[in-house]
Amino acid sequence: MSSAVAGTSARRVVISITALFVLAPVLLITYQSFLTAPFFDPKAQLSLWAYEFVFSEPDFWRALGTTAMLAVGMTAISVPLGALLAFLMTRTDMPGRGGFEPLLLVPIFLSPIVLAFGYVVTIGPVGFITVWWKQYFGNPFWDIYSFTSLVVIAGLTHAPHVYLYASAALRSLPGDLEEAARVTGAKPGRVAMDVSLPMITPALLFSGVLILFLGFEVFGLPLILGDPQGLLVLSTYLYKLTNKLGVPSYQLMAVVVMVIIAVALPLVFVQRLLLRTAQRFIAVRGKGSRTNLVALRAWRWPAFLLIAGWFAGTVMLPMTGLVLRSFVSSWGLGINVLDVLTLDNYIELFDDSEVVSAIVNSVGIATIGGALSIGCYTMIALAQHRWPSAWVRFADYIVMLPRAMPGIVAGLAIFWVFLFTKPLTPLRTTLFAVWVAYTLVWLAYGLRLVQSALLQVAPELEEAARVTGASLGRAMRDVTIPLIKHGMLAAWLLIMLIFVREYSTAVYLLGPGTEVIGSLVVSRWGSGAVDIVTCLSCINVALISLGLMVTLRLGVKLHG
Amino acid sequence: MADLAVDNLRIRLGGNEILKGVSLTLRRGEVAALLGPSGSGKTTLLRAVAGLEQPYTGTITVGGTTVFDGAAGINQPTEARGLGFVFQSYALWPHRTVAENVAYSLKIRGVAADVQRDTVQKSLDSLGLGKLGHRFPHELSGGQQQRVAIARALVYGPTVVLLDEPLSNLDAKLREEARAFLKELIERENLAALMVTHDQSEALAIANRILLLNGGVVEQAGTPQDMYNAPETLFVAEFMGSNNHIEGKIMGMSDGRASIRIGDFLLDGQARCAPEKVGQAGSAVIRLEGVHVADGSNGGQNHVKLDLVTSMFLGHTWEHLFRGPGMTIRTHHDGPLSSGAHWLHLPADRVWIF
Repeated sequence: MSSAVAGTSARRVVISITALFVLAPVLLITYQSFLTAPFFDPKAQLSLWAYEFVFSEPDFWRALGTTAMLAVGMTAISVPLGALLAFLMTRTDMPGRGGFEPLLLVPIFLSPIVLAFGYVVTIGPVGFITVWWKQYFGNPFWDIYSFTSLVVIAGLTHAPHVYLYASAALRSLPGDLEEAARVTGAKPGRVAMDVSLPMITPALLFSGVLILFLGFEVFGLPLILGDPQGLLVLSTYLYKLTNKLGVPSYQLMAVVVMVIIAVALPLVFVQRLLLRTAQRFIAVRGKGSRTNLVALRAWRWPAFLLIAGWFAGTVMLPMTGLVLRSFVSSWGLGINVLDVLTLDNYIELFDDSEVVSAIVNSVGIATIGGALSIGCYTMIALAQHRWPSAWVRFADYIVMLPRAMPGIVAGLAIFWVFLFTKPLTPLRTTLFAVWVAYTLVWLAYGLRLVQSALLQVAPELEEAARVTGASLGRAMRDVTIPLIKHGMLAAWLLIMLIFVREYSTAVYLLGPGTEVIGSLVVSRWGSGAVDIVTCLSCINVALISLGLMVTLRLGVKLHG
Repeated sequence: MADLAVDNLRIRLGGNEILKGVSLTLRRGEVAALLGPSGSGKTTLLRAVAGLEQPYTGTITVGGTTVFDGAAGINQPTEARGLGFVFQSYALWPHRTVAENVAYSLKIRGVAADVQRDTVQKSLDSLGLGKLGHRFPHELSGGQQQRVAIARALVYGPTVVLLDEPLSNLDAKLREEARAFLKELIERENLAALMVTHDQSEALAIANRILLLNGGVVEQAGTPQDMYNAPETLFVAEFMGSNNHIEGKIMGMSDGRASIRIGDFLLDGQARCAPEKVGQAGSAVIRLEGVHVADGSNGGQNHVKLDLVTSMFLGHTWEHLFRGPGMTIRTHHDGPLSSGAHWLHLPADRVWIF
């Protein structure tokens, strides 16, 4: 009797701590949004003043409108593009499919802010390509700082998210469904439109909502590309609000955060609902029979060029520019690139103690911090594991909340929690605070990785331990955890990649001792230190590429 | 005293009542088979005894200790019930060797390492697995895996062992050997065994007692002979053995006998229905082996002349299919038959009328 009770109370403790961990920031933000001053100000009073103030700001409404347009615009680009990529990759005889497979997912793992820097140094007003273009053709036809560019770039870089779900759905589509249509007389193109596409509609719908949701969260791209023209989205508006009134205007920021959560939370719920439907469709698994690929004939090479062009524009272009820029001392009209090539940028980098600790911290938080986070996620997943209880349903909803908090919001919330909770305040300026914020932001993602590993464990393996006399905890220690070891390793690698890539979460926590590459580049870009920013970005990309290679080498699937 | 007693157990899973008050008792040296179609609740019952499913009422007693009592709020966790459990999939831990799999229950009970080693080796030896201790489960054949699963369940000496379709993962030949081996083992170790199976021939062969479950209740319980030869309900009669089923109208009933009319053929048999059913539609059931080809006779009580439709050679016997107005009869017969009509005898003591 006692061991069962002990097991159950351990589960309850873990779920309660998780709930506290998730709800504390949200409740603090809510509380703060109804105050007239920052929560630490003794003069702060409960009121709706902050809401009235924000809602009467034309800038806020403009930012909200821009955000909505950006989200819709990028969805309109990335869903058809991602679906097309998925169809070409999984269902046609397009040349070079095998080679593209891992490359297509690269943009997901690159930091958007790094991509944005890459675009600025290549096709920005004094970018490499722009300068060359001017020499030969006159003024360029594009303007990187326009809203259109922002939408196009956001759309192109988010297409892989759609590809991920669309290709998974297409692969699990039983081949005989398409063959049945072929037999009745439909041509390949007809089959694609009449059978394949309708069958993956749930997956496309889900990824559409996902992109819409990501569109509300984007921070890096609009910060770099929108800012010069004063183009604000909600997240950058929030970032700019920091010093709106000259004094810390926490109450206004809290209101903006409330708006962001209010928009994002329903989208999270819709995603959850749609994912279930999508999975129901995927669950109709075929026998894994190899289907005949659609012959593209004359369209083979145009299709190849489409994907190659997309990859060149989305990854190669910004990355090449970034690397090149990090190896030149200066750049502008009339400068020959060979004259200015140098290693100085990298050498100087290591004189900057902030930069050095940012690199060390980034690696540390990704490896050690990532492992600790996976440890936490595993505890939470085990607490929910095969426990038919209202507690588990409660936990399921709780862990969705952080998903509705973009990194910058979660970082701010954790910053406040550390400020608000007196015993934690000394820890605010340590890497621990950054780790807490990262763990919170990626809670839902990491938990899903661990849970999918747990799903692989047949229940009777655990039951067999129980009947031979092992308590719940003992059975988990001796059977469950050893069996999900590989899943946990894979999850750790993926979390590591994501923690290196992360940039917005630590922005508010940036200070001596808490620098990470992501937040440091955001702040250094603001001060115009292009050399350092490009070098750091390259180091960031190098770290991610290294991690990605190890991950792929170990045969880890890049999506949970 | 019973070594395992289940009384009026009820289980609800997701709003559906899976077990609707099941009771059973089991002593050492006895094998009880839980038989029934899928969805009848037999596996749920087995898992509830092990504490893997949660009943809401009833009691379960193992070796005189109450491990579950819905009314008294007693609910011992699985690990405290001291049972042996053999899973259908064997559930051998893939990350442990055979010896480690078997030793696990001893390790948990804090048995000294050298005693563990000896006990495990003795157990493996007795099951013919002596040299396989260092292997991993995936390196064993299906039959060997099954023996490891049994060794693991029995090594710490439980008196009650629960087996969930223990033979279903073996191929047909191996299954017959394993059946005999299992029965011998249970008798030798003097265990009380409760076994789930959907295979009636397995149940008939191994069990001292069969509980036939249907829709969450025990439809009939008894010795294999009783279950086969004296079914109390139509469900039991049809579930056991291979049967002919004939629909007709019940004409009369007296002294435990009844007659049923199919077209203008009047069939006598043992009454298994209430007297009120006279004059209503009913069914007659007769096992395939109960029907005899009676060529040479020229009618008489319970004799009927039917056309031979087709014949199948089964190896040890022939199966013939006859059809006539309102009935289709299959029967076993030593040899082939000529086409055309044949007389069949359906002895009244082999016919049950429901």
